[in-house]
Amino acid sequence: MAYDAVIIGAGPSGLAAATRLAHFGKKVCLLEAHSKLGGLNSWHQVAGREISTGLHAFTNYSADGRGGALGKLLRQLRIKFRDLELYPQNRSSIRFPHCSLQFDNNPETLRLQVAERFPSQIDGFDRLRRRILETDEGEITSRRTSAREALSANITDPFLMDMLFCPVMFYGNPGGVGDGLDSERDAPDMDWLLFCVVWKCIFESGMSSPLSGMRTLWEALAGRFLADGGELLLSSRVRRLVVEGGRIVGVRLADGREIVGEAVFSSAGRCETMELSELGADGRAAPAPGEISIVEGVAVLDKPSVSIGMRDTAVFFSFSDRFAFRRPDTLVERRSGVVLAMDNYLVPEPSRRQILKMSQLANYPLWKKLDRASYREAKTASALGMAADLAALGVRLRDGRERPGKFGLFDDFFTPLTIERFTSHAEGALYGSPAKSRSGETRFPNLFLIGTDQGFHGIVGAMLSGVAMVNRHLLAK
Amino acid sequence: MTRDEIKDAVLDIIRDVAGLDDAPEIDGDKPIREQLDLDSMDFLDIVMELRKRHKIEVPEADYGKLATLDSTIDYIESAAK
Repeated sequence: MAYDAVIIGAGPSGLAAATRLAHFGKKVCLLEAHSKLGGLNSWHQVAGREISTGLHAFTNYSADGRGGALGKLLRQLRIKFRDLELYPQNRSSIRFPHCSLQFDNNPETLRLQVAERFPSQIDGFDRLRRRILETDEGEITSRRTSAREALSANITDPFLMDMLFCPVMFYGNPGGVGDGLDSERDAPDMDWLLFCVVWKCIFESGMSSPLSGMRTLWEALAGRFLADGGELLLSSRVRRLVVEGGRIVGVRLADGREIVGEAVFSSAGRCETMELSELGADGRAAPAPGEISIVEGVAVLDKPSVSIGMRDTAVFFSFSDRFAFRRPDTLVERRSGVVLAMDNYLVPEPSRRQILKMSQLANYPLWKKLDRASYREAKTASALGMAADLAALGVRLRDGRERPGKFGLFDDFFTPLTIERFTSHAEGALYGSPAKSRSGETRFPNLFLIGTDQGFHGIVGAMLSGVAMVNRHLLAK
Repeated sequence: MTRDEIKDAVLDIIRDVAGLDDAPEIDGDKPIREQLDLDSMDFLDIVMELRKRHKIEVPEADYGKLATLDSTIDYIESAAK
């Protein structure tokens, strides 16, 4: 049987695309290499507790879920806002050596902090915000302009500029290779329009967390997809895209099965998808994989995060006055990172979510080179480094635990190799390739990209990508 | 379908597309999109739901005829004849 569409990957973008197509009567086969849904944003058991992996927060939060990107996504997928059970963040902070800024889901909080700490910059900050709010993300094309240049026109204090860049980059800068933007290694840059999108997600609307993790949403979407006649194949890795006469006619799975489809939507990534085609990598210069990847430690706590010195939902920190966002020359970048307390949301029964996560930038090639024994040792060593960095931030992980973890004081520890395995993105590139394909089109007329290499970052961005691409390339036809 | 049945069917679709719990109270002679803050993607969904639920095909040239609730009912009524 030939499907109307074959979708590669049951992460946020693939599930959204599949649900929407099946809702409108299309015959769809959704393929997932792993045994569970969610891609990067899945779940697993750690120390007897179910832990969500991947992005910790749902951005674009609003109290009623009606406006903006989240509202649009919910309507397109016929999801009720209340079924997401989103709870807003408590408050977060940006911590640099000589200064901290707090922010929450009310943009005025950050504004007041900037006015107090950087009085000479507040007029420029207001101008910058107005410019960001006036920018329409629909304008996004493959043309890239410098965010640093746009910021420089309004913010003259380099320290404030780096502080503002810190959370925005951690939340969605795929890195610089191939874009010619960050010629100065220590003055990181990103695409201006992408900067505006991420800024709005985290500073203007804000962060929230689903009460029982992302799993609830993935299972609800998969349930609807199956009820609408969709076919979901888990543990089914795509080995090849089958090409005939310049078109994709289907996919061949690792176990030899062939799935025939009229169109293929792939969330595997831009260069990764082209490598699956029998022609090998894209004939034009194949874009390099993204260089931004991370290590992440997960610690299940026996007491509230606040009792060990972690008061914020998220802390974006830099131990250096100048913030560097690039692939480090060492296994792990110890000078900066993000700390997250899953219990510091305004949730009922926060004690059920006493989990602390910490991420730092990491170097994929260095991790890849390690043999089995050194890889394990490096994980433990990096986890010890993280605990020390936490202590420097005033967070006493040791006091929060009655027993040691598998990796120092952490119960689990991910590396760029883990991310590569679960997302299929080459080199564990957290935000995919810096070279995006906004139209989703490829050299094959019936093969389309969805997810992080087509659309925007984050869970909302990835899901909207799946929706927008099936609307444009299949439902509108 | 009678006019009232058509009206209920259209309101059911608008309710689902707009993510509301109940059928919305809207003025029949004012644009639907403005009253419910819907965008062009939502409008296309109304068209697609009409096709899915009631096998009513609306060619793109006729989209303008679905601007208000009254004009939508008129359109469906005449299309069914």
